[in-house]
Amino acid sequence: MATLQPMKLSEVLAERGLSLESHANGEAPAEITDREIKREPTPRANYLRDIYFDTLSSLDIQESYWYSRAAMEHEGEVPIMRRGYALKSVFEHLDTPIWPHEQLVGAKAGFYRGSAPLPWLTESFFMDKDSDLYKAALDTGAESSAEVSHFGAGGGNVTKSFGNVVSVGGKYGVRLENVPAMHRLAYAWAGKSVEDVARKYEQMVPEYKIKENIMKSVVSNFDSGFTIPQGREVMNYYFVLEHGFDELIEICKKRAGEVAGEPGGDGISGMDRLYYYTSMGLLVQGLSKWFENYGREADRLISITNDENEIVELAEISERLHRLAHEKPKTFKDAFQTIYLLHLAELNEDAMSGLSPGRIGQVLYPYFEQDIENGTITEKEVEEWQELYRVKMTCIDAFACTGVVGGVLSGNTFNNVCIGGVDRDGKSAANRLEMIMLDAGINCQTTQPTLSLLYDESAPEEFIMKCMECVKTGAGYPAIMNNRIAMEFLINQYGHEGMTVQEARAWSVGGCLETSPGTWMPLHLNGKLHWIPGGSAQPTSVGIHFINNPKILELVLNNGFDKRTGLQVFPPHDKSFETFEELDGQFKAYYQKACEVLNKCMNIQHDVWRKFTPSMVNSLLKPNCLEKGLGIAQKGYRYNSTFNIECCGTCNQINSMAAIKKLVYEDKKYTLDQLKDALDNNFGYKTSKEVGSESLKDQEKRADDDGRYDEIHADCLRAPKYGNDDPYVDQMLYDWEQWFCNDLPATIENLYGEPYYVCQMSVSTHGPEGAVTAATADGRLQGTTFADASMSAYPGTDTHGQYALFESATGWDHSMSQNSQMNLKLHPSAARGIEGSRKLMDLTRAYMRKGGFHIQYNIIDSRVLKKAQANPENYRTLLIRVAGFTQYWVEIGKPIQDEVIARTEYESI
Amino acid sequence: MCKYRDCDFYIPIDVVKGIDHAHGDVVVMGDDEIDDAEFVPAHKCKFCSHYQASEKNMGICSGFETEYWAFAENGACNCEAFEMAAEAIKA
Repeated sequence: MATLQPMKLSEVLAERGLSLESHANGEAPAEITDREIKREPTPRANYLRDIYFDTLSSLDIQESYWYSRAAMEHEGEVPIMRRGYALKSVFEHLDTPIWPHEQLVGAKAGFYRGSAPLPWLTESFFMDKDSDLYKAALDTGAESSAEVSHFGAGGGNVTKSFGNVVSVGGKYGVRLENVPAMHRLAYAWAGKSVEDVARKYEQMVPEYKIKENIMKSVVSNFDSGFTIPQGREVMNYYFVLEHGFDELIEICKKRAGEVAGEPGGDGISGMDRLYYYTSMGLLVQGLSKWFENYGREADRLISITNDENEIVELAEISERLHRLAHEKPKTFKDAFQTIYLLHLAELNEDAMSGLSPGRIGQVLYPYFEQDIENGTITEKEVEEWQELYRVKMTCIDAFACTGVVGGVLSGNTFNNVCIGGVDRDGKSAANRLEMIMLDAGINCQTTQPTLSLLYDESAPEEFIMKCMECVKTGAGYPAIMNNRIAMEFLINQYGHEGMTVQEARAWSVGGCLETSPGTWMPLHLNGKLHWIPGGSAQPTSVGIHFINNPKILELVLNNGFDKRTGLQVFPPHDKSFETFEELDGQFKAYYQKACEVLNKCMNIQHDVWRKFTPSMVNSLLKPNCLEKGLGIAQKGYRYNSTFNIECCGTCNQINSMAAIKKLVYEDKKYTLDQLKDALDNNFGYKTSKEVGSESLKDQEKRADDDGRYDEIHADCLRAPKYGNDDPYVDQMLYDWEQWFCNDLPATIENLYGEPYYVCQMSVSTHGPEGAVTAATADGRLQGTTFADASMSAYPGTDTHGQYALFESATGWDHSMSQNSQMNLKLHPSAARGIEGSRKLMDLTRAYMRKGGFHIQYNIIDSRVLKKAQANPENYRTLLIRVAGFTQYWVEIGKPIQDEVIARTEYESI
Repeated sequence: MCKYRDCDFYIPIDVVKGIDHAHGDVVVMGDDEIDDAEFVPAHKCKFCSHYQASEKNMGICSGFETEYWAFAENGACNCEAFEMAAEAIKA
């Protein structure tokens, strides 16, 4: 009697003893287990967080308007002066709302969760969809990844228009009455934006057609120079903390006079110094007015409220902001308010993600120590301010195109605060304020700022245990980064720019896990000298964005042709691959070609950006700009070798290579053509498009499937898999890392004439990049999500425990790369109690000591996630760690949700 | 009837709602009418004496040295050229 054909992938796998919701190291308890640690924020922070939970992501075009108006009025000026006038006008005129019960004030725009279009950077994606300009942008492939990017339908995302609210980019809402003005602003910059000007020159690159096809086929995820040209870097708040605005205005004025007409021995950039100091003077005047306006708003609110408590609090805000508009901060609250508004100021000058405050627990420590000593603040107050900061940072939205904000960032903005590490003298830098920050992160769970522990062996046990307690809340932070590995990377990469061991100690994480150079700055407070860390480098993760590794392998197998789009992406190689080495060589040849072409085009985009709309706020704040009178465009920053090659899908690439080598070239069980036939036919399954889902568990067999691919699919699934301490496949990873980290970057040069390096993390790109990729030889089906991160195993394939996974992951030198990424999902019962915390600490230490760069944990019962997926309305506050960031479950697209559910759940340590 | 969202003590939260700072209530658009007697016009371009409406929700700003287009809903509480129009005060 014939048996029924299994329809779902999950059923087929179950027949083979495999599961999409894999468990390792035992079985989960029968009952669903909640997270162990649960605490509440203060009533004030809770009130303000509750507003956030009920707030829509909203577009405010006020910044767009004032910038454009001033820029048009100063057309013909030296570009940096024009930008200076424009940003000054923005900061002078922005609305400065203060919501009830706030103490820490400030907002990017006029809404609680607001952001603004920046049409001078890019305008095509928020034009009306019928416009020729919008259609022209589509032709370039700039929006291709948007077609396969998803936002979660819940939370604050405005995924559809309703009433008088128009959805833009699938996430943001704009009031209908403001749409004509938004379009007018977009058209005003058409042909003049960084996007449009760069496009004109990009097309002069002889291989431009390859670049366009690379974007259309989503071999690379997005353009660099006009989407999020800044970010993945660390702020440096020092100059305002040390000098205050009035003094900075005087410094700029004095220095402008000193350098006017003087090349200073530099015949190329020397004359630029006059425009630098003059434009920075304009910017600082605008910032000062912005602070002042918050003081004025507090004054106005005092006049319209009768609440005595509120009047007292508003008066405090008023006094502080009026004073900080001119003077340097004196107290902890002063300094905290200052760095928060400076952070927003930088975010307002560009479309940005991954702007990290850095090691603010160490930056603010001198003020904390002073105020605690003189009794003007209590630790409880400090903790509440940290909670308020968490809410304010979570309100930050970035406005960029769907492919970036949805496909890469999952709506997150990656404001990373780092704790721990070592000080200037190499001793543990962990301090009491950072302990309080961890408590605030436990009490007030929010997505921002995410926390990262710069793990060093010198850290006190108590501090690491507090980190573990925080991890056990399930918030996904702190992630743990290896201080030693990061310092080695920095010395290797930036040695030629003067990086020393002492300077490397000032590093921090920009964005989710981009190792970023820092420096020590001498802060004077009450006659004492404090060396505080701060960022000193250009944006990282600019350059070549998220090369889709498995897609390149697919193109190798198909002679450079992409069957999904019908495009000949790379020139045909016309090889039949008699040996595995020949195939591997072609893979690298296509990879190299992709990087070469993308580099040329991205260099042009960033060159136009630095000429027209260079960083102003960061060019003021980062050493050594103010000292030299040179901004980012003239290499005023201390470190400039920051461009990188990001990749995605390493695990699927390596597993696929291993399967091809074993099944085709060693066992010779199948010919390459037979394997290609199976991949072309998706092993007998429907395409993800036919199923209507890119999620693993939704995939179904074709109705007419006769089972002819079942055996080859089973063999592909059973081929050696990364993550099990299996030298066969692990060695392939190590060989790849040697080429990828060392050989490839040496062949290309960024626009600053500096060398590249590689960056290995997925963020959310494993969703959309998987969506455009055919079935792979590791048994993964067409269109489904790749493995997350770079060192994580593919869901369900790491069956030998965490330590076997660690062995696989650490057989190569992680300091060859800016980062590597390991995500681990643990059942809450695995880390229960003090004993569980100690086990978690030991597990973490084991990975760090073996040379792993990064590990982060999801402490969650997968069944909770399934319930949350089925009933999102009951889980608005549920946080989950994705890949380098924590996000509200309901704001994540379904493919990534499914991937997180499917990750191997370790039931014990 | 006037709208809360045009009122001086309305602080926007997002594109559909805001807080009435005078009373502490959340006000949702579409359900945000306010008695004329209580209404205090907000600082918005459309209530400025230098704003001349030219088309729906758009107009001309003559408050600065150079005239430029403007949009009605633009917040102007920090605009140095803002002057409340007589008819807005009357409303």
